[in-house]
Amino acid sequence: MIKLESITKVYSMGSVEVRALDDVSFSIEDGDYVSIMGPSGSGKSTLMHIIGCLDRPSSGKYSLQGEDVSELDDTELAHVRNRRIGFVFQQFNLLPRETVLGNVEIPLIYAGVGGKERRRIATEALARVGLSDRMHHRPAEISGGQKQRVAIARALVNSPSLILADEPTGNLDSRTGSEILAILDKLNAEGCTIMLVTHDRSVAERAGRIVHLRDGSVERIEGLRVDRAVEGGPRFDGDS
Amino acid sequence: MGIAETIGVALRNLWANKLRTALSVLGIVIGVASVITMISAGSSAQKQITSDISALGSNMIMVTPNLKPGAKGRSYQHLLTMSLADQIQAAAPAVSAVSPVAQVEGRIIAGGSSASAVITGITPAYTRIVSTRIALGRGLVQSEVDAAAHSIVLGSEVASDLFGQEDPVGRQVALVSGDHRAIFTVVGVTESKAALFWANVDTQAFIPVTTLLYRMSPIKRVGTYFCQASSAQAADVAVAQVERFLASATGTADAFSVASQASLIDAIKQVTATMTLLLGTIAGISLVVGGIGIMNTLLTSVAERTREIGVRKSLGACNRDILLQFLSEALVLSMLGGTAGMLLGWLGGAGIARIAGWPVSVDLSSVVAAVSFSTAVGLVFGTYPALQAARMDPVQALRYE
Repeated sequence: MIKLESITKVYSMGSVEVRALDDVSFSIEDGDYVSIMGPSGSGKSTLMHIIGCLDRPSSGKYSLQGEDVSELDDTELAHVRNRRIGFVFQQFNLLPRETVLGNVEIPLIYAGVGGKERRRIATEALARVGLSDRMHHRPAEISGGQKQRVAIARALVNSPSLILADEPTGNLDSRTGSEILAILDKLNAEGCTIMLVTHDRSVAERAGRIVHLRDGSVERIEGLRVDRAVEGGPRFDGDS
Repeated sequence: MGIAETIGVALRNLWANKLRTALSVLGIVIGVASVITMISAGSSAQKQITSDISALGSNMIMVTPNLKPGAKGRSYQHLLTMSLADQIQAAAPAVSAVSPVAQVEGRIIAGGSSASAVITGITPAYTRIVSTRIALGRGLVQSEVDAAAHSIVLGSEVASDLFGQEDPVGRQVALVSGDHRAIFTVVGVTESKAALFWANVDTQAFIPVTTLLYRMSPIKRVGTYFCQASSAQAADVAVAQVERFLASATGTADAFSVASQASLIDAIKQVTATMTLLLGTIAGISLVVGGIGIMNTLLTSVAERTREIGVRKSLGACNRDILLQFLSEALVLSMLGGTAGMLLGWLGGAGIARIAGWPVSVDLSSVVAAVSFSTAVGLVFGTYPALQAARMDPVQALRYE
């Protein structure tokens, strides 16, 4: 379970303070599929960075699977990102010099998994996204949709508590985009917790709930269908 | 992340930028190669010079008057007589032979040809002290010294200049020095010997010192007393005895300088070691420049791979993983350069020694020093870029276009 309590993020730009996030609270149950929506500048990215443990909140409490991760140091955060978070980026962010298989193995390398085991897990993850036949290609040799599938496989290998997808269809045509969304649906059906950040309503609607952000605060939480974890339902802060 | 994977990633990245890698390796190659070349050339030269000095004589001690007047402006020129040689011999039991030596510039004429030569006045002991061998005829004998005879032994070069392939022994030559001109009979020719400083035997001609002092030279003073210690072990004792005698004879310690062959070798060694250190240091600077090249390459690499660093961090790389990755690239670069430079430097050192005709001497310690220094250079100059990479904020790095 992911629980955000009064998360605030303040950037100081010279003498001016910018409140990127202001008192954000909500929670995501295991197996949930949640979208984060909002116009640009609403704090989507900042929220994603904090949930992805790439950044720390200025104040508030963020607990991931019962552990407070808002006060961890750089190395501990790297460990959390490695084991509990799987990132899927709009830009795919595959390393061009590594093969498809090599890219998928990277999180396992940082987890200290040995060569043979690493290969086995990575091969399995590529099979899950239907890319068994492209393992030894370089990223430059495959299509955009295939790249995003490699990125999803890479996000899966350490069995994370949460898959964080940031505009995963932003760089894809609508047909390929819906293929990617179908894979995410399938993963959610298999039990993966997914958080999807987008500004596209039709994409956001794949989720069970949409968290609407505006000016750094949760504007409202919209329930679309009953989540797998029903009892987890939407939670509101007093004043949102 | 394991060492093998870290080095694997480093190699792949370096391979991906072959030209840049090659150029920065080249900087280290040149640095290491020049350090090793310079140091080995220096030690080759030192070996050559010390062996030359050893060949100069055996257990030789040179007693030379100081050119400047001694304390209180007194001159000791009047002491430079033939009999001082006997006095030294008598006062220093560790000295087994003494030869007074005087030299003038002269010209030797035989038939139609002439040659300039250093005319050295000696006693028979001299040939033994400075290990000169006779190739043709014989050396000078005591009776010729006693009689101030007009006998002459030619250096090999002088002999061939005057007589070509002919045997000069028994021939008459005219010796001209200043206003003096005298006819001498050639009694022998010396063997050719490598030149060193004052002592190019080949371009000298030897006559009895008495003939030079009493019949040829206007100076009538001995220039140097060549002494021989009875053994190599006795050399220091002999030097002390000679010094003590000369100090009591002149009343001052600085009228003469007394130098043994061993002390000469030590002095030369010190000079060549200093030269070698100087050359090595200059070459070392190029190694530092090579290090700056590595740093430049890495900084470029870090900037170019900002996004990769962000991606790796998002996938779980901690600062240490990133640090080690870039540091290992620096080390691979510097060690590649160190190894190639070592081979090149060895060839360079051997080449220089060969061209100069010195014994080849590539010091193992210079190889170890250059390679470990280049590794240290890699570490030092790699640390800053690696730290810069490691400390990157993952959010900023991921946004980098």
